Amino acid sequence: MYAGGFGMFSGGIYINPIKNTEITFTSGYTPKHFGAIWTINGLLSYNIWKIKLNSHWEIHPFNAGAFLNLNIGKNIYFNYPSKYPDDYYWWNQAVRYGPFVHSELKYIPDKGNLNYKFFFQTSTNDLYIASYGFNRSSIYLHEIFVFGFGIKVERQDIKRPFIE
Amino acid sequence: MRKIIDFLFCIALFFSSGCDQFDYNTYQTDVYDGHLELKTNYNIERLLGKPRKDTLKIVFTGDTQRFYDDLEDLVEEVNDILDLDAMIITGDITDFGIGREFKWINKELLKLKVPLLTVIGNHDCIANAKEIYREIFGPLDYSFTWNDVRFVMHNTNSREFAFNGTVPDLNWMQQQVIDTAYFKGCIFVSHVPPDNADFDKALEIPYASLLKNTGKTIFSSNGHNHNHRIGELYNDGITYINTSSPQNRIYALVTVYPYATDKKFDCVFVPF
Repeated sequence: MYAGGFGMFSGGIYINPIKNTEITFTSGYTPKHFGAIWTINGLLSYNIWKIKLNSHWEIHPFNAGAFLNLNIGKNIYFNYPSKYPDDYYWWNQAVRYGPFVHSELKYIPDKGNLNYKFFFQTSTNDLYIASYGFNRSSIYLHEIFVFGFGIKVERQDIKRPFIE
Repeated sequence: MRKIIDFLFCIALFFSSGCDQFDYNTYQTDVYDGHLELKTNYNIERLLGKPRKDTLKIVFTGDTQRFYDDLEDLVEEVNDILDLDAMIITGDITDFGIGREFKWINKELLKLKVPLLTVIGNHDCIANAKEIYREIFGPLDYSFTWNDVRFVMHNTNSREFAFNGTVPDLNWMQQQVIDTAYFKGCIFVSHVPPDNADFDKALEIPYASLLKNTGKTIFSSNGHNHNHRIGELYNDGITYINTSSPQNRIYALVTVYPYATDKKFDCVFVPF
C-alpha cells in the first residue's frame, strides 16, 4: 500500500474469519527524509456493499471499518519521558486510531488461483477529528481525510486471503 | 469494463495531482510546499523595507493551537487595523505538533496583510514539529533591528529540551544585545515566561538580569498562559506582556515609540 498514513509503503497479511469481514495487519515505513517512522497497523473492516459486474470484476465501494496505528520514531512517545509531569500532554503520541473506508475493485482471473483487489483508502484519525470538532468554519471536512491506495491478493481455494 | 478502469485511473490521478492528502505518516516532516509569506527572513525584509517612522504598531497573539475558527476571526480583525506594521505569534502555533495542523493554521495566516513573525512554543517542539517549524518559518532563535528597535526572538521551551541549560540560550541572547550603540530599544519575544514551571529554574534569575542589564529593554512578550497579563515579574522595571490566545477572543495591540525619552510603549488588550 502507498501512503494512507501508514508509511510511504506498507504491507502485511489479512484474513477473512467471517464472510465479508477482513482483519488486516501491516507494517510500514516512512523514509528518513520524511522523519524515519515505522508503523504497525491493525485494521478491521466489513464489506457493506458488493456490485458484481460480470464473472471477472466486482466493485466493493464501501469496505468500512476502524484502524489502530502504532508509530515508532524519534520523539514519538508511547510513554512520555520523565521530563514531563503526569498528563502534561493528554493524548498518546504513538497510538492513532480512526475510521477508514476501502473502495475496492476486485479482479477474478480465469486462470490461476489468485484474485486481485485494487483499493483506495480514505481514513482520518482521532487527532484530526479533535481538530475539526470545534473548527467547522476554517477546516473543511475533506481536509481531515488521508488517502492511500494499494493492492490485495487473495487465494481462491481457501478463501483465506494472505497478502496486501 | 475498460471504461470503468479508465474512470478509476482518472479518479486516482485527480487525487494524486490535485490534492496533497496522501500522507505517509501523521508525524512526517517535509509536509509543506513552503510559502514565502510565512518565512521569517522574508517578513523581516518586508519590515526593513518600510519607511522609517516614529511609532510602530504591532499585534501580539499566541497559542493559536487548535483555535482555527478564532484565528480566522482574528486575522480578519487585524487586517482592518489602520497603520498596523506586523503581527507576532508568541508560540504554540499548533497543538499536537503535526504537519496537518501547520497546514490548517497557515491557511489562516496566509490571509494576513501585514508581515508575520513567530517564535516556537512547547507544542511546536513535540514529535517532528521542530523540523516542520524550521521548514515553514525558519530559525528558533533570531534577532533583527527595525526602526532602531532590536527584536530578540528566542526559544524558552526549557522543558522540551529536558532543562539542559541551553534553552533559553543566554550566551546567544547576550551576543544579540551587546552592541547597544546600534539600537535605541530592545524587545524580547518568547513563548514560556520566566516565572513559569516550564522555564529552566536555574536560568530564571540570569535571564531576568540579562533583560534588565541591556538598559534598553522596552518590554518582553510571552505566551503559554493563554490569558493576557501585563506587569513586572521581578520588580526590576522590566514589563512582561503575556499575550492572550485567540481562544479568549482578545489580542494585544502594542504601540512602540523607539525615539521617545520617557514612555517607550503602550499596550491595550482588544476584544474581538
